[in-house]
Amino acid sequence: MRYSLYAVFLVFVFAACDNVSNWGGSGWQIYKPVYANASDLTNIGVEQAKPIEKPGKIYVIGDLLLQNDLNTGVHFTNISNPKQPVKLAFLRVPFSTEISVKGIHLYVNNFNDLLVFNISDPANPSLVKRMANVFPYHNSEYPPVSNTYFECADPKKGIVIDWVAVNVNEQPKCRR
Amino acid sequence: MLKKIKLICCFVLIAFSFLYCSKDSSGNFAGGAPSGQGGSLARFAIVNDYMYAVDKENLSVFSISNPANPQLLRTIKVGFEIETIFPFKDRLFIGSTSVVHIFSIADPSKPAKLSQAISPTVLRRCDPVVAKDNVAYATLRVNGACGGVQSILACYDISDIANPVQKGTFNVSEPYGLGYKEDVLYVCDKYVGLRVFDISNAFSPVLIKTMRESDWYIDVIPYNDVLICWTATGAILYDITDNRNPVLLSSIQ
Repeated sequence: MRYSLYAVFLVFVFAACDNVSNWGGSGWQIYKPVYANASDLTNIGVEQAKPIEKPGKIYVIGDLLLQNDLNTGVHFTNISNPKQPVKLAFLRVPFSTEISVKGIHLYVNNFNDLLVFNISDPANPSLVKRMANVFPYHNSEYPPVSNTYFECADPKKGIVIDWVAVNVNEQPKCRR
Repeated sequence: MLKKIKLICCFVLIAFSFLYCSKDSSGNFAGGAPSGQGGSLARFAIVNDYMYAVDKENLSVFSISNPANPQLLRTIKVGFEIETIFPFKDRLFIGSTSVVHIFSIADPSKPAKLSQAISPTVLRRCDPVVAKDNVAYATLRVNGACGGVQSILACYDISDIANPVQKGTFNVSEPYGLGYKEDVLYVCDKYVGLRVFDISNAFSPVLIKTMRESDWYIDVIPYNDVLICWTATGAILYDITDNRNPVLLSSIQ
C-alpha cells in the first residue's frame, strides 16, 4: 500500500514537471505573434521577374513552373528548356503560401481570402475573382506547436503572419 | 497522460502527400481543363472539378467546374493542426501533426470521413507520401526537442488502404517531401541533401546516392524526365531520364 502511494506521488511529481516544461533559466519560453499591416493585404499586382527571397511551395503545369515567395507572391518561370529556364514575371500577392492551377486559372491564398487569376498570359496574370474569408490563414490564430504558452494575438495590432519563439519573464495568458 | 505522450512525441511535423507518377496523374485530366502538379507539402489539392483546401482545422470543398468562378460548397471540421492534404484514388489523406484523417471522395462534393486516423501507433505523426501500387512511403520527422526518436523513411503495405502496415524503414535525418519515378524514390532530407533510393524491392529501399547542390531541400515534383526541387535558393531542376542518376540542369533563383 505504502509503495503504491509512493508511486502515485511520483506520478504527480512527473506530471508537475510537465507543467513547468516551458520554464527555462531565463524565464518563460513562449511564442509571440509577428504582425503585418492589414491594409497591405490587397496590394496585388504584376512585377517584372526578380530573384526569389524566401522560397516557398512549387507547382508545375505544362511548361510553367510556379514558386511561392513566402508571404509575398508567386514567381512564374518557363521551363520548356529546363537547361535554360526563363523567368517571366512576379505576381505580388501579400500573405500567400499556397498555389494550385486548373487550366488557365491560378488559385492563391491571400491571407484569409482565395484569389483566382487568369494566367493564359503567364507574363501578365489578371485577377478574376476574390472569395473573402473562405479559410483562416493557417498562421493566424495560434503558434505552430502545442503545449506552449504564447502572447495572445491582438487584432488591433494587425494581422498575424508568423510566430517567433522568445523568452519572457512573465507567464503569458494564452496557452494551447 | 495524453499531454505527456504529446510532449514526448512533440514537434513532429507533417509532410503529407501522395505524388503520382505521370500515368496515375492522367486522372487529373478527366474534368476538362487539366490541373498541374504540386509538391507533397500542399494545402490545396485539385481533383477534376473540385478543389480541396485545408487550414489548421477544416477541409473546404470548392466546385471549380467553372474554373474562373469557384464556389465554396462546404467546410468540414477535421481536427487540429492540419498540415497537408493529398488525393489518392477516391480518397483524401489529410495529415496533421498527430494523425492522418482519411476521407472518401466517392461523392467528390461531399467528402465523407472513413476513419479517424491511420492507426496512430503505426503511421503516428507521419507524412504519407508516395503511393505506388500497394505501397506508400512516408517521411516521419522528429525535431530535436523530441529526443531519442529517429526520423525515418517508412514503407507501408496499403493493400487495405485504411489499414497500412509498416513493412520497412530507413533512417534519415530531417525528411520532408518526396516523390518517385518508376523504381527510384527521391526524398528531401533537408540539410543532408536529396536522397536517391532504389525501391525495386518496395519495402527495402536502398540508398543509391545523395545530391547536394543546395544548402537544403524541402520538396520535389518528379515531372516526366525532370525532377523539380524546392531548395534554399529557389528551385533546382535535374534531368532524371536515368532516374538513378539525377543530372543537374539548372537552378532558378
